[in-house]
Amino acid sequence: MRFSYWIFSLTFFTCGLSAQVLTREDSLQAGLYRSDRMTVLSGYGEAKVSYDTRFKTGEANLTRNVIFLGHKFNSKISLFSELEIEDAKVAGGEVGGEIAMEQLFLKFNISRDIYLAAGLFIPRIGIINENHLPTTFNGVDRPFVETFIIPSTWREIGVGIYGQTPRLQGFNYSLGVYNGLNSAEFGKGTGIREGRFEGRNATASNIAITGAALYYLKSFRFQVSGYFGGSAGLSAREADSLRLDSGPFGTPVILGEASAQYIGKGFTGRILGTIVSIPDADKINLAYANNTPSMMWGAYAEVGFNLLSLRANSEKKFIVFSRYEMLDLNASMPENGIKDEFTAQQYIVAGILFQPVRGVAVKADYVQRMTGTPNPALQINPFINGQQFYASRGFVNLGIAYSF
Amino acid sequence: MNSRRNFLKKTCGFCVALGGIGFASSLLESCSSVPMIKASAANNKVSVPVNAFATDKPYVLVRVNSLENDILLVRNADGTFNGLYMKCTHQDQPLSVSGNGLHCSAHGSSFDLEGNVTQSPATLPLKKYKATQNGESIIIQLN
Repeated sequence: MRFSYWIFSLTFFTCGLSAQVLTREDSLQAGLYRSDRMTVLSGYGEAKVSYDTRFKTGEANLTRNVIFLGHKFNSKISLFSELEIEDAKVAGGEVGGEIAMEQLFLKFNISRDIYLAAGLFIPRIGIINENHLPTTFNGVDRPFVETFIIPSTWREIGVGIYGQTPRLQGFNYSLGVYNGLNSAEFGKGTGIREGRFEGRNATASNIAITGAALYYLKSFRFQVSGYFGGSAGLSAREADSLRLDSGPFGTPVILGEASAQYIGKGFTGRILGTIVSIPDADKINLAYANNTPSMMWGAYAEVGFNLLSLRANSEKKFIVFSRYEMLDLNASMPENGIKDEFTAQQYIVAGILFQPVRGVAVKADYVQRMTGTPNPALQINPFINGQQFYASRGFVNLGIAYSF
Repeated sequence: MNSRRNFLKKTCGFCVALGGIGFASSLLESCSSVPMIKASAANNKVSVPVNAFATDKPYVLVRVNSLENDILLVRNADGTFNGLYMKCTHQDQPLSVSGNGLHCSAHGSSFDLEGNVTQSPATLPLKKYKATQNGESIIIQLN
């Protein structure tokens, strides 16, 4: 009896050592932060209800839930992975829902100031792409500029180097090489969004390079970032038959972004501008007839104030905010493309974010969307019972979000 | 062709303007870069000379060779000291210090000079080290 007790205890203890799965808080409480081996379970998610004030219809959706699993192999090498389920359910034969790896990469610490990431990960482009946890941004939805122009969350397979300079504190940089895009999937209303591979069978004969420099100066955060990559991962023969340029940077996509943020004394402010150029859009249209624009751009500015900021040491927040966005997915079309004024859009967003405890957010906002008129030349078979078009529509949104 | 030229002109102008702002800012900041002390631990203690605080900064970086990340040694307003481990409690990324806070470039978390979270996604405060002045040295206790 006593022998079996010791065998059981030893087995339990050994299993506990080799396969411990701890939440971040557990690991802190257990004093394991400096352990050489640790597995961390974490996650984030968001759900929303949206009401269209024009058509008086509503929609409720569990937008996403993401499970983070990380493991530290030793002090130099760690694994980061995020498994995402969008729209709650993925069922055979039904439209909607998605299960996808949002990230899966190994992080190699080169020194305490420099590390490498290799695998499927998110390049530093814009604000939301990397910082997309729903508890960290105002608004039930992500900013539209960082959804349509910068297609957050934009991840590809590659290798990136991230670093900072100890002497010039606050300055950070990153450089990365990734697989490129697929111009066959570009479109007038979605820009480059559908041309992402997101880690699934990507063409790697066309590649992309990205770079970012960001700098913290007192209460400000400044960033510039860029992307340059090929979008025709075809053989030379295929590309030639389609009159596209293949090769690593053939049929290129160029993106530039600059942003500034302020956080201090209860106030927050964000401003971002981005522009995308597809110089060979005419060739893409000739090959795929998908109305690829030659230029897109977007910009937004947001201000917010935490009404509870005057309460000392409170982790509660009650932020009121407002944001103005403007974007144009068809800012410039090649001669063989058909421009759609509907893709020139403006958004006014105003709302609140209540944070009862860090990692939890309750959100509410009102979104006014103003668009141009759809081009009737693009409506080949108009739906006879289709809704009347309104250039201005309003949406009331409620949402909850968590991250830990 | 014309639109491409316009695009390049606008983009370059925009980038140059922002780069100029960033460069000017970095020059301002680099004029008073953060002092760094390299030290070895003995008996789980690290000694930092008090004169490391000769600059106008209320903190110095302490690079201990047995630790994965630096320690930010902060001189408080009342003359006491405390050490903050410069590793983000969200996903273990290294932090940088600027102004009156520590920042994570990866996901945007920020902490004040007492280690408290001021900006999510981090939810937990930074690991702290006890630091006491002993004559001309400040002793950081690592455990």
